[in-house]
Amino acid sequence: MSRPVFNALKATAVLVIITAVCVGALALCNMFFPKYVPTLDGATAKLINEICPTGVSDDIALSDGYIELLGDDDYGVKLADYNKANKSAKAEILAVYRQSKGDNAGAFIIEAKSSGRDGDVVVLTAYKNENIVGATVKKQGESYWNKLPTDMFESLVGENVYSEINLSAKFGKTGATLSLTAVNRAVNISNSFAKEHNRSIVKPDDFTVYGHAKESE
Amino acid sequence: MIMDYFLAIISIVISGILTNNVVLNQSIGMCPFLGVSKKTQSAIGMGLAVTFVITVASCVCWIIYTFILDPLSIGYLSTVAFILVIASLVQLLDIALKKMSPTLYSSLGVYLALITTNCAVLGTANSVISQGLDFFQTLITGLAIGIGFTVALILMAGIREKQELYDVPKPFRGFPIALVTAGIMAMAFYGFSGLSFT
Amino acid sequence: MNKEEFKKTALGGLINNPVFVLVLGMCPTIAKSDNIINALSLGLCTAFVLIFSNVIISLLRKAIPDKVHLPAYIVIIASLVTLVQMFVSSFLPDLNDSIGAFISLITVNCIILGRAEAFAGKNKVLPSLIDGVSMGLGFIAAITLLGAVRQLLTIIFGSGFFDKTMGGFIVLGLVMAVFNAIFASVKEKQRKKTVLIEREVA
Repeated sequence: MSRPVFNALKATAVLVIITAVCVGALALCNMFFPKYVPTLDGATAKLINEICPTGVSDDIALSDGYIELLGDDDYGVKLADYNKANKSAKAEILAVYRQSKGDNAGAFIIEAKSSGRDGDVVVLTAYKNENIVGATVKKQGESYWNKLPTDMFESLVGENVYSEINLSAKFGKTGATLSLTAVNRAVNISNSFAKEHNRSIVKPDDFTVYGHAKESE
Repeated sequence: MIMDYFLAIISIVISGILTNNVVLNQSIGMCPFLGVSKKTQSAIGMGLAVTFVITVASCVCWIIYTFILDPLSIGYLSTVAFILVIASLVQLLDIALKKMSPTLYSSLGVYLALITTNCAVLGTANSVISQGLDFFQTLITGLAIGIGFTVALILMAGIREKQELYDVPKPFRGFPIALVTAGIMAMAFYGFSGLSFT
Repeated sequence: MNKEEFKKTALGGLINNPVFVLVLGMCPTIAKSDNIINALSLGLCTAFVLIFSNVIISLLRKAIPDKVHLPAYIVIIASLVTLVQMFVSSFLPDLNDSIGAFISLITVNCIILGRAEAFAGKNKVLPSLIDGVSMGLGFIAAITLLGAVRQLLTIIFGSGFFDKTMGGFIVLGLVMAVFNAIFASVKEKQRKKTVLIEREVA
């Protein structure tokens, strides 16, 4: 082939290789940057205590088992399978916590995440029976988070697991639409999970309808 | 419903030109602003070129994000993808202007290539995605921001043309006086921030 | 490289300060110098990208054909910026709140592309590294200085002016003028010294 054509091809090839290497490196980094793993740590206990008070201090709630992190066996379904089946929800359930003692015994808290503008938004939603009693954000790295309405989570209190939450309709144009949509999706998948599995998380035998723990516990 | 949408569009236009002007409110996109803005003639040409790039780039980036990056969950590649789109667009504009309008081409000079590194272009593309606008709103946003940029540029050129005739103290000559002037203009535009429909 | 060249490159960040002399990278300088934390953080992120892009581009300078050198540089710089974006959003979410949007604008920061074109594309790796560090430090110093001045003025005069764009423009213009005045007087002193020495010798 002629010189100019060869040169043009070589130039294009170099550019393509450089782009491929860079994109590959970034994909690798994307896999290795800490994928958030839910743990019941002090920070989480504090958040849970705020939206669904146990009546004791955060430390005691954590150390004395007022709040516990449940496993797949406790609610009878593998989270991984549930998330796979619900891919269209564009959100994932990360963990379920339960309050077995304290002022809100019988309440459970679902931790869900959804993709926002700059990464995942992780939301905690607290339920008692089939009603939302509180919600808050656990983790987010959104650039425009401070444009969201401050009473966004309070407005969720009183909704139940049968509601289709639509924060965008309620709050309109915020300037942080992607972040709001992420919160929306996280709460909605929490609702679906709660609706299907609340009888397993809080077995009717252990708690009365209003969630008071049996005396022997 | 239609009324809401219509008001939203008006709000985008007003914010792009007056209340959220890229240069004077958001303080992005000023490198060419400070360099080219000495003659009103070249300011208009520059403004047109930038408006074209911002509008087309925002729309193309929107399409790429909505139909390729988001569905595949590779949103993190948006910076690389967007800047490549912008660079290609400017290259195309370069070739097109050389053929169609040699006068404009030569008056822009090196500043045409510099549109690639104009923060306003990449900034608008990013902001349009984060606001979750639809395609038509993206188009209007691009136009509005471009017009806002052009307005700021023309005003600046007018003032600097006059400044050439005055005796500016030595340390202030060149960029410092341009910056202070821009600051005063920004003050005027800050007054517009009371205008809002939402 | 010899001592003269080293000195010239290493002091580049001061003598040819990217913000005050070369007048590049204006966007983040005015927008995010409203307080010291923002300014310092953004400065560090920019310096990181600058240093690594200088080194990588210098390493690859012989392999990249001239025709595609611009897109190649852009891809490398954009990838480095994406890396910083990932890091900040994973480990420093609060910082992401305040400067997140501007991290992606580092891609189009004229300083980085400017140094890649003017220096890294034509020089060996070690000088490019030194240039990157020097210019990076120069940028950090400049933007942090502005951040400090604006934060101080905001504390004295209350918020609403110096922490906004208009204040940013004016403060930058004034600091630039001061910088020019100082360097002009230094140059003037040096000139006078050389004249005196020449007179003595004569």
